[in-house]
Amino acid sequence: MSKFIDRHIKWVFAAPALVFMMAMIVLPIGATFAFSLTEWNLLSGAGPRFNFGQNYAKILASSEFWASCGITFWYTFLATILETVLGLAIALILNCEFRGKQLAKTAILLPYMMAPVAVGLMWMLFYEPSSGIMNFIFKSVGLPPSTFTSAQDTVIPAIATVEVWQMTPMVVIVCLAGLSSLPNDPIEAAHVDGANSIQVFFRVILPMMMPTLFSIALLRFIDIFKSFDLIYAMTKGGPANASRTLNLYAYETAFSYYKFGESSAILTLVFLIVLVISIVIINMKKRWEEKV
Amino acid sequence: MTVYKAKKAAGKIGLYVLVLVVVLPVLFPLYFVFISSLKNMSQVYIMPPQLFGFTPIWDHYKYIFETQHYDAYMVNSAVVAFASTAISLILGVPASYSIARFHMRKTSTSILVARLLPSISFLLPYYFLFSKLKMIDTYSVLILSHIVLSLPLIVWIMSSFIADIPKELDEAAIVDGCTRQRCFWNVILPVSLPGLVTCATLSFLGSWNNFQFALILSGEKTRTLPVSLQYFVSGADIRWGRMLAATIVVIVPAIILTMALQKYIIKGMTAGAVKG
Repeated sequence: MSKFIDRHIKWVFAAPALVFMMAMIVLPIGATFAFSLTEWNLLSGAGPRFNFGQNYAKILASSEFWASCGITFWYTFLATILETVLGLAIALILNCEFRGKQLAKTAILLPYMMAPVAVGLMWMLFYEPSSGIMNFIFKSVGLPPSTFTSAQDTVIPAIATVEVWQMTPMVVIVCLAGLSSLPNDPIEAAHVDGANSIQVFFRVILPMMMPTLFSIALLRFIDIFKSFDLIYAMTKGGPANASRTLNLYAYETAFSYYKFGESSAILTLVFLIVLVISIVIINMKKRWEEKV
Repeated sequence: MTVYKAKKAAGKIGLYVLVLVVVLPVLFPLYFVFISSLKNMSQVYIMPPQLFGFTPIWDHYKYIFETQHYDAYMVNSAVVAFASTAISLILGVPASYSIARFHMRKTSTSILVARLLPSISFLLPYYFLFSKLKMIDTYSVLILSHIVLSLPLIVWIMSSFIADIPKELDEAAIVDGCTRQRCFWNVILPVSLPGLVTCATLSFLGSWNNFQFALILSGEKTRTLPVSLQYFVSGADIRWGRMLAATIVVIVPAIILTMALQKYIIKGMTAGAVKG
């Protein structure tokens, strides 16, 4: 017996985790897919009944799904781009030597470690249209007041701002690690050759940082794509469904209308989109690692 | 020479201004929320806000603990966070060792994919299964679901951490007659302590902050802090003072952990993102 354990030790170590993941992730995803092929409304009291691709046909033909898809991608692209650019900029500042650097880093990290629900709700206080501090600041610097989360055309940028406020630290930390591992010689050589800081950044540092930026941007893209807490806490998808991303759409279909079959079909589609993006990331990473 | 010195000083001042521009937007909102939780409803809305020198009132904190059972929610959150972190470490660390030492590429890739999947895609079956088993609103179902989130995180961080420990350590122990199990327990675990702290912190906070799973799988008996926050919002009417006091209660442990363990947290974030 002990010989058997010794010989297969790697599986003995890995098996508990693998069995757990199998039971709690692989099987449920299979179940979601099976549910997605059924007509199943919890309110009608009847159990699931196979209707094959009908849910998918219905969803793909509905304008609600495509609107939600558009909102998800608009929100995701907006927040990802802002986070990546801001994250790199802040990392460049924090990469300089100055007193109190550790304190500044800790301060930057704080929002990232807080519950998204708490962050969302506290920003609702700032966003209060008539007497919130954001509009007070806007007025003080001469900008027109904004409607933030209470109007359809400003809600997505408003929520994306909060997402950026909370999650940019992730990009900053990864960029700082990337910056500190850059070789010093090319940067010094460029300086010696008389290049100014801006030229050094765009011609030397940025190209060398590209792989890091790329992989963190894709990771952020996936995390933002599937984010739920922040939007649910701030608007629950409103006003008039203007911030209802795919995640919220699926949640609403299942837990407000109890259409489990349809919701499962939406979830399966979301899952497929995320899976495709993940596979792309992992392959790119592999190719990048092989190059290095 | 003096021109050079002046230039350098100007650069230094410019840098500090930039740092301030970065740090202020982070710290000011937190300060603003904290002082607003100590004001009454009408004071919160006075613009420009009174930032110092007002008399703090602690009524909101008293209210949420005495009338709203925030002590019970805190216990719920803590129990779930501690238990799910402990079990995830027990399951995840040996698996990370295997992945790091035996190069189990496929295993590590599949766990990585699990980390990237939207958690809502397994939430419906959970709800269905656990309501059939009458397990909704129990600690076990919350703990179980939070392990699903922390286990991939732990494997992700720990396998890259252990891969950085020189193999010679294992080899020396094995030459001395240790079995792999003993080597893992007596040699690798003690050296991995920083990695374990990193994992445990991130996993604890992940569970403490989790909203989506608790929203669906918890009930009145097991309500966790993040879920409780939404009950202050009813339609357009938000009880700001109480809600902000509750928000502070939710975020203070995260703030304390971040300040105490900043180094470890940063290590975990970069391991997860760069090495994968």
